[in-house]
Amino acid sequence: MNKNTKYKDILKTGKTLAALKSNITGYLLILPLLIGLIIFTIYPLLLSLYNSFYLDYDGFNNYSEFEFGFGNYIKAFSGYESKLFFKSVGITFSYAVIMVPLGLVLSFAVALFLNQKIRGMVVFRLIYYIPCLIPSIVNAIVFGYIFNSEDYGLMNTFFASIGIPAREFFYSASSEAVVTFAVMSLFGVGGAMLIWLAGLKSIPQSYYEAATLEGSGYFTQLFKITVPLCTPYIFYQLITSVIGTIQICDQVYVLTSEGGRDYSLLFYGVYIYREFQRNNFGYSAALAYMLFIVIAILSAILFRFNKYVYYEGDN
Amino acid sequence: MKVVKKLLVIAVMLVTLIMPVGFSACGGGGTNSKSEITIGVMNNSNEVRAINDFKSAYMKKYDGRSVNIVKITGTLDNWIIKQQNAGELPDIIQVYDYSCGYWTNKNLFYPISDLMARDGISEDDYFSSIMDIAKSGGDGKVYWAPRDYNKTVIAYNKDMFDIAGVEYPDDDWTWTDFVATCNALNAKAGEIKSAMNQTVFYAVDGNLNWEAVYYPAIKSYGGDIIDKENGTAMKNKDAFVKGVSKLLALADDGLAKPPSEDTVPFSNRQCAMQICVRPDIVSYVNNLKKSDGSVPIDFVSMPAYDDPDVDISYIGMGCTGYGITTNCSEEKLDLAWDFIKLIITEEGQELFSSTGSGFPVLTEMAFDDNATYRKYIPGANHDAFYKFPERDLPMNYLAGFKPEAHLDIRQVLTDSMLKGAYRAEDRTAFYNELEARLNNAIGK
Amino acid sequence: MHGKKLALKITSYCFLCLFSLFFLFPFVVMFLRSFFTATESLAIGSGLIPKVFYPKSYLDALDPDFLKYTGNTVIVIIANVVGKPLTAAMAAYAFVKVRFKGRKLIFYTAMCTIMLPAILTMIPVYKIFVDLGWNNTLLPLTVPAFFGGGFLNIFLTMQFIRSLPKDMDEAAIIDGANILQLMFRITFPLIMPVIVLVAVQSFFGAWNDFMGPLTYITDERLLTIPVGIYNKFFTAVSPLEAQPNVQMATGVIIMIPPIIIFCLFQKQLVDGVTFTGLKA
Repeated sequence: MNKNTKYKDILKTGKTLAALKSNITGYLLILPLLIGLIIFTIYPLLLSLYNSFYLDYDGFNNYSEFEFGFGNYIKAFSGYESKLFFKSVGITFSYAVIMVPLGLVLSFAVALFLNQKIRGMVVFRLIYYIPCLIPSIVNAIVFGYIFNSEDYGLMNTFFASIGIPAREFFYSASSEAVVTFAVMSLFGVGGAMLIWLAGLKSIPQSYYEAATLEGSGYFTQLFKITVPLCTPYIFYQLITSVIGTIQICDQVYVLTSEGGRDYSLLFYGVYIYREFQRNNFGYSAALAYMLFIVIAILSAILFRFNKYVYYEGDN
Repeated sequence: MKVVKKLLVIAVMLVTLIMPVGFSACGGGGTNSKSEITIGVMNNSNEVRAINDFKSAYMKKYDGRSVNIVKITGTLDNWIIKQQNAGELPDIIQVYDYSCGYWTNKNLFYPISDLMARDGISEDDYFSSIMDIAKSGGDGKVYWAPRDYNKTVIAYNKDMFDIAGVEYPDDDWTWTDFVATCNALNAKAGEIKSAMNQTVFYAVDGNLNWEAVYYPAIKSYGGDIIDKENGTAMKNKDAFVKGVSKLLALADDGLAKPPSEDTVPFSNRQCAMQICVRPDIVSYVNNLKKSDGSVPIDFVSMPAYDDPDVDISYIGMGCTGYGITTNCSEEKLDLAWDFIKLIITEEGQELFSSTGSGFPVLTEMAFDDNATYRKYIPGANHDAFYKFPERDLPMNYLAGFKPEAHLDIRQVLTDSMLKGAYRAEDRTAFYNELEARLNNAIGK
Repeated sequence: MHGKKLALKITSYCFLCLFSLFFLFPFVVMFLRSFFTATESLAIGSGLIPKVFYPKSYLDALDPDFLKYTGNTVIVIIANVVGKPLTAAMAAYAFVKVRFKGRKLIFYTAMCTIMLPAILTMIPVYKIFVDLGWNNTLLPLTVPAFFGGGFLNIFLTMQFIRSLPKDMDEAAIIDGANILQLMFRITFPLIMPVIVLVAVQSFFGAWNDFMGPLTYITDERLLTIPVGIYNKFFTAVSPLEAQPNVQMATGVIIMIPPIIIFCLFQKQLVDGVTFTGLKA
């Protein structure tokens, strides 16, 4: 009896000791992440929320000087500011709706081309991926010149030589500015392309061989084998692409920090940053929170598609 | 082996990157000693060069003192706000004339009237239009020290006039004369282009995007950008539109380069005339200087409108200057004042005008026939840079009006004028939209 | 069958070459424009072939300001390349191998941070840095790298650790090693590939980061390359200050280091994508 209870006690204390040691080591290892989460994520999140309830809070004066309430949120929907708000929402939304699918499809197509056993594939891969490796400044430098709105830019000089009137590109007050920007961002398909390549490589060659033996053509194989097996990658790309596109800021900021002529390039991220630069901490916090809510909703919706995704090891 | 190779390459890269940094780091690093003042300047090579010239003169004159130059990032106004929030404003800061009123009202500057009186510097030594800007605090005190006096003039390429057989313009010329000259030059565009080996030619680059060019046009016709009494945009809108249209007509008729900020055709021998100010002429001289050392550039005053609607044909002028900030501590006040004094008295003005890009703000020096600034292009019509002082128009359309709206109003103007006006398909709609945006900026 | 394959190969090759032209076109333009003189690059309709060949614009691009910015960027990169993989690996190891209370809670909180728009946290964090007095230092860019390294990096490392065989661990435990020894001696050397991947990605992140320095750094002497160049050329008042030819030369120069790093670490980067563990 004594021996047994002693043994159990030893085991128990041994277990609690081990658990304690485990806890301590775990927290030690997690400590940087934890501190980082609290200081750089959770605290700013709450502070931002708090700021957003003070009308036109300028970030550095006393809170008591500002009106408490939903003022900042109402401001976005009323008066002249609402014009900017709805314009930026419109631009961001229409851009995302068109460019996210387009980008996915185009990068997938490029990856398909690259997935062959061709010599020099490494070189091609490098060339296509370069635009994703360089700072957004370089884009502004070179595309700012190519698509310059005066007869100084490359495109307009070319147009002048063949007799077409100069186009305004980024300086346009209409949607032409966003279209030019979309063309510029098409150069960034290399990033997604790498992910597709990984996905394509993970499909065993035997599937294709079996399908060819059964007599199915290229496109049938594409849609019946490749695409379904790539669904995890499609899912991942879709989510990151949507979240990234909605937040576009620095690629536009280097071109025009104020949103372009007549606000034709005022993406939502640029709008928020513009307000921050004018020291409207309260208003920009409110705008950023609305963005957060939209992203959360979109993520929730997109995660529902998870059930369509085929995972290896599932049936 | 592969890993070692890779690490080696990276190590080499890092060393090559860090080495030049080591060399360049020798330059900076100022000690925050008691005898060091900090000066904030625009991030612009001309401004940096100018302040460095002043700095060397200052440090030579006052042994043992040092100056730390800080360059501004982003736009001046935002930078000042950021530094104010962080409590780190420099002791002296450079602001352009149009921001002077705004910042004076925000208590950024320390008044220097008493210091000027103490050291025997009189306000009457300077151009009165500039002193008005320096005294925008409403209490008659001088808050800001101007560095130069920049009146818009027209620089023209004598060679092109010779090729076209057009007479050189006269300081008293009218707008009709001006348009006629443009047309005459345009008629011979082909010859000029082949002589200059260029494919593009405009009679004039009007610098139309610049407020020193379009504000005088608006004001000459009786309009104004802001109606200060009523607190609305566009005083006398018809006059506003008339003035702007007069300028746009030049571009519409193909006489002037369309408004833009991206090209410099005058330096490239692509246009015959250029509306400019004194600091610009240095690069024109550098680019147009011929192999025999002669410079085919001369200057003429801005033409006067001969329209019966126009009372005075205003000529835009501006300047930049420095102010001692309220952040400057008591001990350093004298150090900072000595620097400012150096700039605005003869010593500094002499130094600045010898570079060619500075026109002295001391009237005595400006009117002197043998002044240094005249030696920059000997024989040229330097009088154009100060003639007709009664037509001076400083860019103070916002003076004394709602300081909190200044930044937004200026932003609207920078966005739209005149490039937006030129590009608008429906100009009437454009002006209405501009009015709405200005009213919105005012209303904040 | 062979003919069909050959035809497919040829058409693919044609398309690939066409795409390459498309992708390379901007950089060719940039390269050609970098040989203009400053004045000529501002001429109307100056095109791509300069009248005066001016390779000195590369020397002009490497002026003391640019070297200053490069130095700052190197410091930031070193901090990021060291800090991010280290803290990410520590956290990943803890999540996978160590049982501690609240593990799941912290993990899911960290996962939710992906959804946060970066701009939302940047603005209050700026204020925090100002209050801390880090305003005139490079600390706002270097210190956060040592605090977790981003959730995606942690997740990547976790997937990799999970895929490692467990028998080494068990052997070590039997030999009496504690958790730290286990981590450093056994697991870390094995996860070198993913550490390299995280380090390389941190390099690109730090080299290309624009919003960070733009927001947190107001002192011109401490700017990193992207914001330094933006400040130097894009906030110019007069067109001559903008110096298009030097802009182009600078653009060419700052493309080189990322390309070199990519070429060196291509294998890791491409393989690393496979390990994103999309088979969750």
